[in-house]
Amino acid sequence: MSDLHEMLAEHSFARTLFDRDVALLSELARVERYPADGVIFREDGPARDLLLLRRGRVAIEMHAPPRVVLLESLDAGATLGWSTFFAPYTWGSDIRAMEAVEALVVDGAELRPRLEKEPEFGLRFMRALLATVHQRLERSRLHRMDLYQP
Amino acid sequence: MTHDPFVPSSYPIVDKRRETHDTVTLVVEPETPIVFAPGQFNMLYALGRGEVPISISGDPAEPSRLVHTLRAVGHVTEGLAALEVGESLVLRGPFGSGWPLEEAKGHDVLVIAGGIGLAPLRSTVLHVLHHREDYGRLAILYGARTDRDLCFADDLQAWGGRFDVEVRVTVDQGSPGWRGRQGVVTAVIDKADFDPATALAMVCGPEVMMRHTARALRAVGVKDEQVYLTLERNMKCGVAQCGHCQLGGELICRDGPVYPYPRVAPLMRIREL
Repeated sequence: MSDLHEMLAEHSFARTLFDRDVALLSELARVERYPADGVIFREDGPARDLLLLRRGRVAIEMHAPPRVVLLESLDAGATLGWSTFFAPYTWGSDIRAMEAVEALVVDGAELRPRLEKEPEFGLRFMRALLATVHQRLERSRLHRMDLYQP
Repeated sequence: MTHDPFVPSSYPIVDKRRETHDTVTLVVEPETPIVFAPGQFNMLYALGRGEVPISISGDPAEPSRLVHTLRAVGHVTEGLAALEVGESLVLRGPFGSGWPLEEAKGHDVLVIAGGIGLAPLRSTVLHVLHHREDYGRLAILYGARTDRDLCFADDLQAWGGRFDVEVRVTVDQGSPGWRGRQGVVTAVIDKADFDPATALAMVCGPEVMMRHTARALRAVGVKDEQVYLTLERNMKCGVAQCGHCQLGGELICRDGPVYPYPRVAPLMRIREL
């Protein structure tokens, strides 16, 4: 088992994937490190990668001049970069490293045709992705409640 | 406990701390120590304004030092928050049930609080820290509206600096320059280190937050039976006589405010209650 395979298998995103799915993903994965305050994605930039955070914290931000609005922070264990799988394949917001970040980066552009070609793997992968989206959507709704208002 | 639960006692305030822009901590030192269980509350009386139930946020190992933390959100609590050192705090109690600290022995403890909800849990954290060997891992997950609304910031820093406590703080909206977590408190549950099969979760915050916390706990394998929460209603007498705090068949001042979640979950789903 390669280091990448092992690292992917440890990530919460892979919890429901088969070992052969993880092996396939590891063929398309690499480890990237980003310094604190470094921009990882920029809104409207080409969305090519899925990021599985291993260490550190990132900020999802939106630029509304003159403000930069912090929408949410994500810690190690989070998955981001869904825009890689949906048209128009560009980022919908900025992602910035709030502290030094290490991530497993899966080449989504290479992965997309594999999902089509191997539909059973594609289904399991999309279920894992949907679970992440579902969790984040629920959190966004709760956030909208403004829970602690006086 | 005062001799007659309806007769309040008056104590001079010996210390006052401003926790946030609208939240203060008041400290009194009764001549006769007032023993309380973490999670219990006192009825605090703002003269000429009224009474409100306020959880005891102090150290249960120091019954001669009674600590209350309250948020000024109404006529009575604004009156209480305006009290200064040397002025009298009038109170009666303690009332109600406490957190399940006996049941939690030998287990990991999850303390999950939102906003002022950390106040009723602070005494629990202090108890667990005093009896650290009796409990497993301790994780404190705390959410607030903004970083300016974080209560007990000094405590959180001190607890987070220990090797045997995990502290995760998150805010719904950070100020410019905020470098901590931003997001709802449910988002940090799956990052905490605990055994979902046996841990006990003690939760306090707005009811919608507590419902969703229980849901997020279920998603990581914590059963409802392992979840305890504290309810708040319009308490008046404190001794189950007046019925103001009735929720279904529960009189929260006596039967609560701390409940096993399954006991009150059906009531919390009834929209008219």
